Amino acid sequence: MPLASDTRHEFGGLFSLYEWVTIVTAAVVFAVVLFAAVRYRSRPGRQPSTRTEANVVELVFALVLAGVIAVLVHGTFTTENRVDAIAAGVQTRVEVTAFKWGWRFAYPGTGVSVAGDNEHPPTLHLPVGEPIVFVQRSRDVVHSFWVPALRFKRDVWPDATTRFELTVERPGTYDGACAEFCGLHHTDMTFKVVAESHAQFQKWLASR
Amino acid sequence: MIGRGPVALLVWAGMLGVFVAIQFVFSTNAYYWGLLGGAAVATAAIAGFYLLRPPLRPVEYVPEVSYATVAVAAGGAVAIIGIPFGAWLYLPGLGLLVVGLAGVVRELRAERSAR
Amino acid sequence: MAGLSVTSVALERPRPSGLVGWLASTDHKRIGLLQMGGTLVFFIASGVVALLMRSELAHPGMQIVSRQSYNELFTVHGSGMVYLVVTPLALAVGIYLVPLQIGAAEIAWPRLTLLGLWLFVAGGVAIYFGFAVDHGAARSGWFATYPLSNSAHSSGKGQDLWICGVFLAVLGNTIQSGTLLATILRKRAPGMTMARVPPFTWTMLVTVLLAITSFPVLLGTMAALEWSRLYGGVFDGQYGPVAYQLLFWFYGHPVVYVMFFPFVGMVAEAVSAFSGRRFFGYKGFTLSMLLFAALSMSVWAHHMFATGRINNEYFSLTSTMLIVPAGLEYFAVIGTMIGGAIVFSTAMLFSIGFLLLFLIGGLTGIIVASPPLDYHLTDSYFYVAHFHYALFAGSLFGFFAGVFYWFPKVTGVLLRESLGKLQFALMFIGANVTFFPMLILGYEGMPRRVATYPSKFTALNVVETVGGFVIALGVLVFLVNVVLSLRRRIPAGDNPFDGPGLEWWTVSPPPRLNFTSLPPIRSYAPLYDLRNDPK
Repeated sequence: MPLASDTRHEFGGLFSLYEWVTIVTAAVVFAVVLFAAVRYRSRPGRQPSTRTEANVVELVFALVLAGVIAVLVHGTFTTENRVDAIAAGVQTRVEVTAFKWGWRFAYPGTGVSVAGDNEHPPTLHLPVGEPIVFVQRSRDVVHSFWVPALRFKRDVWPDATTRFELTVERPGTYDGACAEFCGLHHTDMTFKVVAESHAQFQKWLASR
Repeated sequence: MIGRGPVALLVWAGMLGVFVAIQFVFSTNAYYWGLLGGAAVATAAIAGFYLLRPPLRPVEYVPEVSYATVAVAAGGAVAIIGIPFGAWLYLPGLGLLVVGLAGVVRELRAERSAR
Repeated sequence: MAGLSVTSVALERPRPSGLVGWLASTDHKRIGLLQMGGTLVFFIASGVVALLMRSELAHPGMQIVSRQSYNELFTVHGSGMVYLVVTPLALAVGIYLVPLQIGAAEIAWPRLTLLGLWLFVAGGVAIYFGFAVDHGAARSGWFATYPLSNSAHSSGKGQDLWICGVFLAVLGNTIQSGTLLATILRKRAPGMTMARVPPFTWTMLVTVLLAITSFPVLLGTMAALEWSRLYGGVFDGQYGPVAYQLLFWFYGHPVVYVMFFPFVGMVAEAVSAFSGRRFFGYKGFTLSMLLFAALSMSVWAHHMFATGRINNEYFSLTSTMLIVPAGLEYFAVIGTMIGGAIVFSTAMLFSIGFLLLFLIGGLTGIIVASPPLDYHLTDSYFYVAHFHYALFAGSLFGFFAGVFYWFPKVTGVLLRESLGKLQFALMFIGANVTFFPMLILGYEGMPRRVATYPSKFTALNVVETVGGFVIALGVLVFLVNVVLSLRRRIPAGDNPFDGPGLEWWTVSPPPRLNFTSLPPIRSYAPLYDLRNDPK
């Protein structure tokens, strides 16, 4: 069953739609502009048109644009519902604490936690193929938890706890970064993500 | 189409009102309707103000320079910049601001009597 | 021939000569030009800052500046460009042109307009003075996110100077927006109904509506932020930091349209003149400008999609709806080209460049208007590319289209077309070389506001740095062109490009009270009407 919180997959599908619309629109506009520039350049004896409007064409055009909006908004809303949803009864949870300038990742119920800073960035171990709920909070300013390979970031707040759910499909080592400017060492407030099989993950937990 | 300027403002205020109304399908957060609704109301108020204004006088006088205005700007700026620095800065700023405002009043009075 | 029914008479005092006559002048033309001059100074300063940043980013690791300095640099670059360059420039072009376009002798409330100019200048000085104080200039970004911008996390007077400077500049902008609105509503010449107001003035009308209804929120927010720094409270506590962002972005989104609409107007006018025909689709254009502005007031929390603390759906809906008015605006401008007799002047080249490159800004904007896509792309270099395409390759290209069109009216002489085309080529190439790779870098995971990066991002960063210097070269060519054209003067006459608007009726440069007579006003292109039907 396709996992809703496979954010990389969800992003990929929706981005394809937007990419397609973007490229077609750009191609059409570029073509029309360059065609107009060439076709209607000033030549001896050329009289400009005195036409001042084309209301029917304009109205049809506006309706086409409205149709494009409907398609994009539909795709966005349905994808977002899946990405933002947090399923009940998820086994694996990670508590994220962000601070100037590092991260602490704790696994509630296991007694295991990993912490690091801008000089020694921490590594976040995650099991692949299953939903993981993240609960995060900041100790000071607003930070943002970003794993580009998962196509997802979420701001970390000092005044409230926020939650989201992710699923990592492919094992591997990924980069993570803070994506909300937070002061002097924002640049170095990075972390690594190691996504591994469930068995390897349990083994790692047990070893801590 | 639109013959009178303030009507364009009312149309715009109406558009803002529509976007406020759409908000309620999704959220009742007071920041959302307060800010956008406030903008709609402010625009309608400005439109009303202009609709009720009398027409311009047939002859208007314009000044050439206004040193007093520059003093108002300088005084106001120093006063505001002075807030985090302390009274030694914002008091002189306020002083210059007051002098500038007095100068503007004088300029406006001179204009009125010259008419 | 209709005459002026409202006559303005200058007070009987000879105009003071020299510098004083300029600095305290209540002539809207002088105020507009001084303000443009001020924004040019701040533009060069922000540009030098950008070149410093790009030089630092040409190689991973820190070679030129420290991390703290880099944070000051990007804060001042962004703040400078938004608060001290493009926004005051957008208003300055309106202050100069609107009274001329509507057949008025003067702007409404000239003293307030002058006040706005000096408040803006004072604000800019305050921001840059931060470099001279302990702890350096502000370094919490151009939007000063809370709590990063509070006294605990951003100590030093540099941040306070920034807050005061931003307050002053935006206060000046707001006051000038008021005087422009009064001018458009009250000082149109007889016969100029709203349906006959030229396209540029229409774009100025919606611009000042945005400014008047959103800028005061920024003023209140900055005052509250400074209060917070001095006495604490306000944005602390539950929801406080979110409230700060909601209030800031209620200004922060409309301001980017304030920085855009007047330049769309400039492109509309330049395209009309250099296509040899009146602007096409005027009714659709003006209605869609109103819709564009109304929507731009309604989208602001789209800057907060990745926060998890706002209603993403509403703001994503209104943001995506922007496609309609944007598309209609393109329809009108391209519709003017189609059926025209196009002359490829520098103004026309910059207009075409605007159409092509702003489109990239707009389309990438639609991409990030989708929260699931924004979750990945926001706060990355993809975003940096988006807004630079929109503001540099969009607004500033539109500005240069306007400069090459209206410079003869302002000065009475022509700009060199050869240098203009060279400038266009440098800026077109430079913009794409600098900003296109950022789309890739952001997608690949490079965050924004970083002083260094992993070595895998090096190659594209080097390319971008080269592009930055190409743009700088283009700016230099422009400055040379202006100086040369003012020194070795080629007289332009009243209407060298056969423009349609009232500003072309008067002499170049216009006299103190703009007009000694006016033609009949029967449409938004009165001089074309006169040419076709000289009754």
